Amino acid sequence: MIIDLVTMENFGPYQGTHELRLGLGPHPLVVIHGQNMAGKTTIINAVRWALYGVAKDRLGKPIPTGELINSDAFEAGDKRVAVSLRILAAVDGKDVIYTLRRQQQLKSAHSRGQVDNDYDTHVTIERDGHVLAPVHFGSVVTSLMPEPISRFFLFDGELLKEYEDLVRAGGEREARAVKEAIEMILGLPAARYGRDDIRQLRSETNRRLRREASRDQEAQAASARLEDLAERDRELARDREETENELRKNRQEVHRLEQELKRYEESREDAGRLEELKLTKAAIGSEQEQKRQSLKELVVDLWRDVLTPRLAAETTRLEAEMSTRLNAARLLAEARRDVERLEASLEHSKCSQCGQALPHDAVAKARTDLVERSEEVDVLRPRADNDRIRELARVIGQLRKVAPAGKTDAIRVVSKDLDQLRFKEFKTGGAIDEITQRLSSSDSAQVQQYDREKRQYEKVVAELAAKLESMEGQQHEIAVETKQQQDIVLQNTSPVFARLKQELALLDALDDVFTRAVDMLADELRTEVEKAASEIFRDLTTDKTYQGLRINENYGLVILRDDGAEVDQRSAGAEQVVAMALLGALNRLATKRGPVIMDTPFGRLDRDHRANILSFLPTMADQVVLLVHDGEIDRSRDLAPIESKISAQILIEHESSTASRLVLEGAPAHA
Amino acid sequence: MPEAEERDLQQLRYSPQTRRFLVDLQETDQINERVDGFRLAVSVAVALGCVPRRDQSRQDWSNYAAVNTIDTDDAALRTVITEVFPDFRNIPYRAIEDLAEQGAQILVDKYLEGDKLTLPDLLETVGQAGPRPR
Repeated sequence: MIIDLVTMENFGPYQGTHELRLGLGPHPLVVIHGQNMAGKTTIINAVRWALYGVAKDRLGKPIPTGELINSDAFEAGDKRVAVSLRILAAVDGKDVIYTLRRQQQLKSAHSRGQVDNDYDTHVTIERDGHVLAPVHFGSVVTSLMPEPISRFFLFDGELLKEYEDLVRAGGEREARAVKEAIEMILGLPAARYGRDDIRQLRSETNRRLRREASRDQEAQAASARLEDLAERDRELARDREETENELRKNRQEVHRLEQELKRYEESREDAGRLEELKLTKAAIGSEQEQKRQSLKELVVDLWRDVLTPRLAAETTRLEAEMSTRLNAARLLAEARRDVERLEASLEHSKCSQCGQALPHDAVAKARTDLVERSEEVDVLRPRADNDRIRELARVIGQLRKVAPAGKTDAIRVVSKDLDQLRFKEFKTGGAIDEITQRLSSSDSAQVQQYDREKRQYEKVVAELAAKLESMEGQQHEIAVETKQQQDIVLQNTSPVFARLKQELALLDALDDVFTRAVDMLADELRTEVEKAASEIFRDLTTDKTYQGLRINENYGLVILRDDGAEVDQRSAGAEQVVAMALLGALNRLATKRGPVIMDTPFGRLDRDHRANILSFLPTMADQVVLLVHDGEIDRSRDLAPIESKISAQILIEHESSTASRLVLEGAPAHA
Repeated sequence: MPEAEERDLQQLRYSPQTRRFLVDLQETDQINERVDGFRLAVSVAVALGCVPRRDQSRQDWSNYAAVNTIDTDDAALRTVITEVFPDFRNIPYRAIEDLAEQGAQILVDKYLEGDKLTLPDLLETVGQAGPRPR
């Protein structure tokens, strides 16, 4: 079976009519990309809703019609929601096209549309373009994909935990439902129907035997008793069936209430997390207080560091002036010495160095030099102001006394720490607010109500289970007495009786054969599932120390190591891989093959496991629709190796919570 | 009035704005004592090139503290003012009073984010400030 076309009308975020073409090409894989809240899960729900009339939320609870219908369309007066599926299937070796359509419409303009009773449901069905009566809708859906097995085809990665619980050894109640669904996929009920037919025939033969025996006086009493016993057995069988149905319903209620309570468990977890966050916030507050104190201490002397660059600049400037003035003082001293020397030479007309008489021209030059040097002395004298030089030395000394405190680095570090703590405090505060808001919306009275109801249902379940046990005991007693009475009846020697006895013996033998055959088939199928799941698991897992999987009678799977030992603790990723292996095995062995639609299946997988599963998907079924978001897979990196197996990629463009649309990308030219 | 005839202060005063600023810093747990903020304001003004002003109106100002409370034991503030602003050699605490006002205004205008002083920004600006022209 292939889903060729899904048409959604006002379904979830898809306002108006949106067509999703899935049978686009020769390859099995179609990838639909969309961000969170864009409308990926809506697509899987649209298929589920069209087939079975139920869409499920993240907790597996049915979504009311009022929440399915696009709110913008509803506000605009278009108060209906519809999905149609064009399905290609093989029926008795012939290709058939079915078109199934389900619509729900508000009964009257006055209805508020908050409860499902406010809506009328219409289903239509066509086979190869010919309209069939709506009454055939259910039987056609059951022939295509019975609802119990749909969990293995319409696959929500977010709800994977449910599968993991189901396939894990234990969990009897869920395991029974899964076992029945798995056996349905594998075709075991067909063998059981054969066995039941034999039993029906045997019952009829017994009835005829009793009638024949009633002609014999001695056997008459036994025959009458056998009639009573048969009637009693039938009554018990009817009662037992009713009780089993009732028990199943009550168990479902217990399960539903457990799911409801699980939601509140999240609230309780929230409460624990809130406490942790409050402690974290208090610790952050305490650390902030320490840092603030530390910063305050550092700020006490900060003014010195703030002044440091300015004082350094002042000091540098004063030092430069002092250096200039000291140089001028040195030059002044030299000039003064020269003036004194020249004056002495001129006074005695002798060289002040060697004492020889100065020639005429030398006297003239000395006079010129004396004038020049005297002028220099006049110029240098104010520059070489010794008072100023002393003042400069004093000021420089004073400024140097205002030493920096050296706190700047510490202040920067502590300020940065405080910024980070403020950010942490902000984030923690945000998380606290979010959880507080969630908790404020949870209702403790509702929790108590669920708890009370659950206890009541559990009590009824226990009573029904005890009643069933008692009925089984009574049926066993009836069977023992029936055997005794039959022995008396079987002493009849008439030819008709003899033939009926032979018939009965044959049917007994056949019943035995069929019963054993069903058990053997079940064992064989389990072994086949174990083998196929192990093969797939070995391909998917990156841990090559795993030998494979072992299956129990409820199709629970455990991982085996190289040495055959069971792996007790499985990681979340390993659980996901085991569940994928089971799904792969069931699809490989199924008598009914359906399209697999997977919603966000890679959430907890690392890159290598993701790559392994992506390579495996195209071989998993005739049609695989993958709904993913960017956070799960990188389009260019993860999808490149399987590009040749992809028929089409479709993008969900999300404009608002009530407006998404589907855009086809990368469709092959022939599509 | 000529500087020589001016008398220096024994008691420092501050404007209502500067008082509010220092009280806020204290109440928001950023300084232990107001004097820490006062000294910081003076140093910021000096570091960023402000010059003490004469004849500023001091109407509505209130008494703050004695000069020996404001200055450190080594009279470092006084030293800085007298050496950096020699014109105020005889009235350093008048100069300090005015510089505190100018510094507080700079801090309020440029280095308050909400009610928090952004000290790393201040240190970066101060570090980049070059020598002042005399």
